[in-house]
Amino acid sequence: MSALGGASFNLVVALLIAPLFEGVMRKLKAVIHSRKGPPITQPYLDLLKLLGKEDIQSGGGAVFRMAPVAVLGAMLLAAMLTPMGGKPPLGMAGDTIVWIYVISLAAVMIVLGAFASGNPFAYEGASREMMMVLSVEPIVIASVVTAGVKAGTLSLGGIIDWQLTHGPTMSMAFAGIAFFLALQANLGRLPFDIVEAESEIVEGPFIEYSGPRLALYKMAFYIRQIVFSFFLVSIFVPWPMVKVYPLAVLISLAKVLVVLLVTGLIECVNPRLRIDQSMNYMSRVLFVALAGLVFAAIGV
Amino acid sequence: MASVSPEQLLLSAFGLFTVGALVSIGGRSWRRTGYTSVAFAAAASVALWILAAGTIVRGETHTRAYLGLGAIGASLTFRIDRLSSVFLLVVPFIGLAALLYSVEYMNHVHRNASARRYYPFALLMLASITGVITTSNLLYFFVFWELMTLTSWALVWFDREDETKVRAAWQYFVATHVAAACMLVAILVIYTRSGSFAFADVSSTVGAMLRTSPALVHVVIALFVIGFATKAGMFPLGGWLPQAYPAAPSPASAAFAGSMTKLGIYGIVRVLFEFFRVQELTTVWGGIIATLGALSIFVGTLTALREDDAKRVLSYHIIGQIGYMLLGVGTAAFFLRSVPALAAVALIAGLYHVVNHACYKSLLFLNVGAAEYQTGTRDLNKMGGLGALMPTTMAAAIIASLSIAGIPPFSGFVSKWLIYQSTIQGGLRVPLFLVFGLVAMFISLVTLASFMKLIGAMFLGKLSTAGKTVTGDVPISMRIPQLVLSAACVLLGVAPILPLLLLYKVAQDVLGSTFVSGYAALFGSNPSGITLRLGNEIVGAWNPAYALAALAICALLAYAISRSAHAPARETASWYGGEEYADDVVRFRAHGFVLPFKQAFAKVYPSVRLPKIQTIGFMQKVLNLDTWLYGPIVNAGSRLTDGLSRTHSGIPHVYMLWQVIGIAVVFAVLFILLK
Repeated sequence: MSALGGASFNLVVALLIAPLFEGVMRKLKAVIHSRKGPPITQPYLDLLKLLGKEDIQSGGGAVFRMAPVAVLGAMLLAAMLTPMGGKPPLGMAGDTIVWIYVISLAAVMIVLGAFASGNPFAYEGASREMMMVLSVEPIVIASVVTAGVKAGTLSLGGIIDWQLTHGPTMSMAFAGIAFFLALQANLGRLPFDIVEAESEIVEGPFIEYSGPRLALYKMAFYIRQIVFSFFLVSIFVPWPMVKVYPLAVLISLAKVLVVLLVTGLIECVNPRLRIDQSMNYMSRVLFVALAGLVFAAIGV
Repeated sequence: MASVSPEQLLLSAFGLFTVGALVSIGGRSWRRTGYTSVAFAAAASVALWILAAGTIVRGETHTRAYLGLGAIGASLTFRIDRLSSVFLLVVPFIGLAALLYSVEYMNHVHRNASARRYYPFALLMLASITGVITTSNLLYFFVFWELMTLTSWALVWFDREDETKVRAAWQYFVATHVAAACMLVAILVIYTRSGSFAFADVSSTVGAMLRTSPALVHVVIALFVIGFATKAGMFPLGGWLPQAYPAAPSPASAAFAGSMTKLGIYGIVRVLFEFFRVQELTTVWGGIIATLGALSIFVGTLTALREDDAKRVLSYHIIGQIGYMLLGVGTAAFFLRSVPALAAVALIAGLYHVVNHACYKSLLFLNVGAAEYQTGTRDLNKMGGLGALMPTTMAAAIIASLSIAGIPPFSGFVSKWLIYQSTIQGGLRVPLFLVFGLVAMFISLVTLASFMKLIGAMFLGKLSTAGKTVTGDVPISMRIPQLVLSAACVLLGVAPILPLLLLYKVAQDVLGSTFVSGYAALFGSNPSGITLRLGNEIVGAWNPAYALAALAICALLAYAISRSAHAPARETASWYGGEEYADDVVRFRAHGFVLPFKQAFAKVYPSVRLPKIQTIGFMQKVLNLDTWLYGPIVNAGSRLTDGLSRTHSGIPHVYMLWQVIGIAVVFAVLFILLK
């Protein structure tokens, strides 16, 4: 399959299927809460509604206006770099390090947009966003580097190939577990929805965003969910890999759904942590990730 | 230009700088002197660029010997090779941008001072930096180095009314001279062994030295490294830097950050790869430098997070960024013999970071200078919202910040990406390098946090009280240097092939015959990006052209989605929880940004504070001859005379006893001698 075709496929998955996962998760939460819950198409309806709503701008300025566009753009680029049931379609454009930094480009734009809105709640949210990046990204980096050390390459395709030929290893298991333990924070879900924290800082960085720009942010977060989940399942659990491409895609979609359902479950039964508690937790998870790296360095 | 020899180009550049300096001494008005200096510097820069371009194409050039001191085997010779041509391309570029920026900046900010305290020194500094990177004689290398230190010291010492700045200048003077003394000792040791100061003779002596006195060789390298690393600002030798750089006028700080600091890296590359390229030395010292580099990255950048003075933030980041360069160069030296291709990638990464850092750090100093020009303050807690009034400066500052934080597709990302790749590949062979790689990647995010704070506090949000008087952006002559430097940051990021082709040739020259990989075998044959290969394995890929094209499509798509329903837009005031506050009352100060993280690191690492060199107290002690010279001599003298007078007790028996003992001693001596 050509790179262009694969990239457009990922783009379509990201734009059209990502909200569906969100809908399923909402339904799951409703079931756990003994509610009826919204229909699973609700995220689509939310987005459509927001696109037509009035765009109220408190900050003004190009940075404020461009930030959501750049965040969604970066997330879509990350989606193209992520393998969704096969090789990453844009593998020749960037490896895992590029993937990590494209994701952090989105964080940068969230922070800049929040600053530009001039709202103190947004500043607090931006500060928290930055701290989440600082405490979570080391785990992502360490687990990705573990994969790189095992495979001898940092290209996503190379790592997946290595996994498929060598099977599960101790170090990759540790790296995968660490990545999964940090996933909740990467998705901005409870107990790590510290950045938005509706009940204390009123959506934080997004407080001044409304209408279509808020829709872009929401879209970007739906996409972030599946991008991270696809990354997790295709790097750390690529098995079983089938030759038939549509089947491989279906299998990884199923794996992503499982991952997201687990995160939804965790979200339901946990209250929000404070930022310092979260950093504490992350520093412990980092040890798991570093253990994986040590195992990789000694070759198990 | 074929008729002009490289030698003439170099000499005319020196001449132009010197004449420019002499002319600017006579200058009265700030502005006219400024433009005269810019003209001379521009002419000299063009000469140096032609020289550098010629060198890249043709290879190295040696010049005749000037100012020969035959008696001690020293003569002023120049050798321009590809390594120096990299610096010859960058230094005049930064210098020229900083000088052009100076014209209006100095005229406005330092109107009451004298222009002759600034421009002559700036031009002479550029001349001496040119000397440092082109001379091939150790003695003259030292002379140029010292000239550079003195001229830059004069610039740090520019503002003589401010007591703290005078102290900072003093500290700079002492720290750099202690370092220079170390270097001088190293040079003299080499001279005593080889009898010559020429670069070429040094490397040939090292082999013999290593056989006769291996410890001495290590001491010499250590002294060189101390000398260069102090200038570069490496932890723990860079404590003077965050005091001294903010003390100089902003364009001078920019010139220091872009040119002078980098010469420490130049020196270390010369020392490790040219003078002492023996396997056991490069491995040991490569490891040491990589370790110190990683430490420097960690400590320098985390300390920067605590600062709220914009220029001090930037200065601490120099310490951190120098760490990246040292990590690249150290990794290269470590793997010089064992994995030459990896050494090449690491060296290219380190030098690439030198070029990138020169552009974005100078640019950041110019941005901060522009904000200072408009508001009169550098305190991030007092600034805010300048972006609406100074859009060019803000755009340049955002580009520079994303570059230094290593966010794609800007320049810092490519060099950092190469550094991550080479440390991780090195980590496959020696696991310690994995730690360095992780530190480099993690600290890149800390850098990001620091610069988000800077951008947010200076340019975004609501206008602060300090900015109420600002009417617009800085004058055009201050905007052009910022635009040019930000263009360089973007270009170095999106078209890595240009610097890589040049640095690949440099790596070929520096690494010599051990390194045989072709360019395509290392970086792939696609001109729009890098497909990094070591051996036959693809180890990583970064193609800015593809990624940017995809990002552009994605962003356009996102924009189209947001406009798809033609939602109406309206501007309102910010929502402060339903209360009406003045913007300044509810402003989120820069100090509070990522505060829990800062506090967490304060707990984990309470001693991260860079040791402050107590140079002033030390100098006072040194200069107070009473305490250490005259006092002890007088005391010793009086103790001696006391002792002597005690023998004169006035008792005859004691005198006779002395005589008997004396005679016995005389006889004993005679007996031994005449036996």
